[in-house]
Amino acid sequence: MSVFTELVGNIKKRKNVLLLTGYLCDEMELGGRKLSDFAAQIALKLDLPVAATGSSAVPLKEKGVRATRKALAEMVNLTRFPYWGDPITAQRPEMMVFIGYPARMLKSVLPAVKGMETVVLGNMSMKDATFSLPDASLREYQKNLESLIGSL
Amino acid sequence: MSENKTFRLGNADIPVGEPVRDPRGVEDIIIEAMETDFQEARYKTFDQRLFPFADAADIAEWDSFLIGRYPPLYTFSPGTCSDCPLGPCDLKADNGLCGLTEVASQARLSLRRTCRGCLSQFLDSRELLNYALKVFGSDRPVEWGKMHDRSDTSHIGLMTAIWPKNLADLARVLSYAEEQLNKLFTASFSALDPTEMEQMVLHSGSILLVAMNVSELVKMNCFGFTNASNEDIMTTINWPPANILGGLGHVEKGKPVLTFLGDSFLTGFCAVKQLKEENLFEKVEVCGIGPAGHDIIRFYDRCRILGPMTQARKLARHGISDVIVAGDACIDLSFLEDAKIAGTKVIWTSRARNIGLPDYSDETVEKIVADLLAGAPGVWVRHTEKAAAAAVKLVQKISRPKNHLLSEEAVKKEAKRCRDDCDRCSNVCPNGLLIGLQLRKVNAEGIAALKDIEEGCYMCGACEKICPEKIPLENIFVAALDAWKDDDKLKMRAGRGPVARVGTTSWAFGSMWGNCPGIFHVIGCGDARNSEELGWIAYNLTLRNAIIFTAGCGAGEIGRYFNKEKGQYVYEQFGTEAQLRNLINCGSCTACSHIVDQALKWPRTGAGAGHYGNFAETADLEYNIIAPTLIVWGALPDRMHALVASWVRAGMSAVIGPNSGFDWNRYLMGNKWKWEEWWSYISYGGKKQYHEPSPPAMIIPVETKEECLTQALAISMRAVDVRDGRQARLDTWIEFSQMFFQEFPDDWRLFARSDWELPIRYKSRLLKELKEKSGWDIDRMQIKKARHPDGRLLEIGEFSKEYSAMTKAITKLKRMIARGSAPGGKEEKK
Repeated sequence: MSVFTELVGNIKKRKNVLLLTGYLCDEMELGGRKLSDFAAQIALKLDLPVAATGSSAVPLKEKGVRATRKALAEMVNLTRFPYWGDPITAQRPEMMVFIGYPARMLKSVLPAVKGMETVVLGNMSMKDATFSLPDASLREYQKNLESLIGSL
Repeated sequence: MSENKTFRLGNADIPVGEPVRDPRGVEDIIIEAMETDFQEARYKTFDQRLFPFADAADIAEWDSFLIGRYPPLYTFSPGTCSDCPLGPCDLKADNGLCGLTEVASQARLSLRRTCRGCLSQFLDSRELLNYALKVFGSDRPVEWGKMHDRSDTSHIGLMTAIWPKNLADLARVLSYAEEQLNKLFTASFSALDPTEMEQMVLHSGSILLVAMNVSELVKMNCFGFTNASNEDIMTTINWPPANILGGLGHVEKGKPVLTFLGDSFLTGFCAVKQLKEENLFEKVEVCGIGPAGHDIIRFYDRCRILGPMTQARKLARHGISDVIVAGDACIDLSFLEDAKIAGTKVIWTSRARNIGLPDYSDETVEKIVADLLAGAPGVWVRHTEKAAAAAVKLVQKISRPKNHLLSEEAVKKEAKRCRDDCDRCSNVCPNGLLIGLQLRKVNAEGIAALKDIEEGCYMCGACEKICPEKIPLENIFVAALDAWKDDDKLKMRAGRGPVARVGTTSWAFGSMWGNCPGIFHVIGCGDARNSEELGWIAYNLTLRNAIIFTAGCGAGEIGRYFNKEKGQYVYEQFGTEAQLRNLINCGSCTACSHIVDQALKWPRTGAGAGHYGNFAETADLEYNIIAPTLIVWGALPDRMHALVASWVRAGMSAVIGPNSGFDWNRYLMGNKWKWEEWWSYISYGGKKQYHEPSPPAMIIPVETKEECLTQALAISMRAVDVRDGRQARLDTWIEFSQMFFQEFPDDWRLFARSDWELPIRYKSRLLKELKEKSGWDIDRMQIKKARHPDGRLLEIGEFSKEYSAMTKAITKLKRMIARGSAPGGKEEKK
């Protein structure tokens, strides 16, 4: 079983998963495709609600994704309170999946996520994440995302 | 003897010891403050107290509210503590040997960071004051301006209760601030209580503004800096004019360039004086980088602003300057090697430290100039006038080759070496720039492919260090900057100093009852990803009738925004009064203190709260009623942490970004979805009043400029907002959200209080949402019943009574509940 199949299996096992999409979704291109294309495919295939941070909401909505504009820090902030309350998910998520954030930004915020698993779909491994894609060039990163999407 | 002294308030003689804990040694200060700024009725109604020369603990009652409602969200933990010889202690496993918890260690780091941020400013303020004392004497009078009086708020007044009259008073004030900083820094290595340390973080911000106040008073009263408060109100509509030019493209070619860099303008002041006296000002281009430049333009409008401190290295490496005169600054981007590469001569003037240059402080001007011309890259001169004279002489004589920049062909050759199986540069870039990706486009698209990333680069050097191919990325970025240097332009107004009383009154009314989405303070350090972003933010808010104040390096960055349709720079397009749809530049970094001080005048003007030694009451009123919103775009130096702390403590919330905002590792945010946590006391009666979560955060980071605008509006709400103000805020917030994200904010319903204040253009859709998503009872365009967050459906009048503080007098401080009005309340003062 590939790491991608295993990861997808883990995501699918969780009842309540929230996908967070960062500003790079709208700014980064991989092989001529916007990163938001990849994020949209993941969201649609797994039927995930999306907290679209930065300015990533519009391209995702255009692809039919259930995206709501949120601030990254607000979502991370909520994880530390017993009461969740945010209408983006009916209950507190069991897992947050991040895509479209610079490694440095995630390094900063991941340690603050409390009480849930974290998955980082970026091009740098993150020690504070439950699972993250490995260090990769952007070319390899594109391949990793394609493999992941192929496993969905 | 304190016990015998009284002050007169209205018709009452009150013992000087009544409003203070210990009046000994400060009796005269208390008497002067009480008799000139406090009001009998308010004093008798509320338990007003004075804290002259306040310690952090004196304001803890207010700070603990802030820290309680917005518990710090720490996003980084070192896991171990090595603050004492008994360490390191593993804090992840257990508390430290001294009992230090992991959270407390995070608070220590937070405090240490703000203290570090204060240090360079304190150094500069002390150097400036000492110089002024030496040259002008301690009796030299100081004042805020003719349009200011004793009741105009300042941080000096708030924290010390002093109304400074001369340089000797300023010396006393600055000594107080230095003593406070000493205490805070000590605590950052020894304190154990995280809440107390976070209160100290806020205190560091307040004392930073005290030091900035001192600098501004010296600048205006001893060095002729612009001061709108000395100008006739009829002349200040367009004053100072938008005539300051900046950017590489505005530097006149063929003239020698003398650049001043860092916090201190003093050498620049002496050099400009000499250039004027010798009629040389037409022959030399005087430029500024960082605060020095923004200070010099307040007395010399021919000075060109080259850029913010964060661009110091890049501008030095570019080599436009023939001579750089520099001192300490907010950020230590060591530029000496860059200047050497460019062949620029450096005169280092800091009295605090050297940067590896020979000490020429005791040499003659002739010797300094001769040695620099003979090949020395730089010298250290700790004598202001001598450094200035040498700089002026040197810049006229210097002749140097300017061939150090890479050609486009050379850049292409280097770019070819970039491998597409690496991209480590992008992952280490603090601004998240996709460096490798763009570099690989250079051969196809030319150097233009680097435009966007060049703008976002402040030459920290991380990318070049990690590049396995050793590609000279810094030289490539500088070559890229040179390629479009003629388009690198800005135009701005010089800072106008403090805002006069009449200006404050007009913004207070305009922002509360006018068609104004609010007051926004827009500052930044210039490390944003795109150089025009700060200007874009200011433009979009000003265009929508907001009142914008700015200062510091960010004020220059705003000046880069050019409206192509109008053919105008943003400062040319808008006026500069404290009015709706105006953009007001107060000055350099130290002028940030004017921005906060003018915002805090409202509690005095509108609510009659004397401000001397009275921080908590002032901030409480500000937070509840009319707090402007701070936007920090490019938030790199530690000084910005302390500055933001000063805003937050004064009741104003802050949006920070873009990428550098996420390096802060500490934010202040509440849970807006838990309604039970959002309440105030009613000032008359002491009842607990629940209301909307306004503002939901005091410090929140965002990623993009669009998100910044939207979030700034979201945190601009205040519980006491009057109808017109709330409507304008909702209108602009929803407009931004629609424009950038094609949706209504998903939390706008938390802020709905009545149909009166729903923006007309969205009203029917908003009412529909209230009906369908929140179950409110809507009859055509009217709200009949509203849903209380506890689930009850209430008549709208009942709803307002139970869940709104609109136009109610509220407070977060128990002692600000009117005497005798609460059950078991204290008797009125006799």
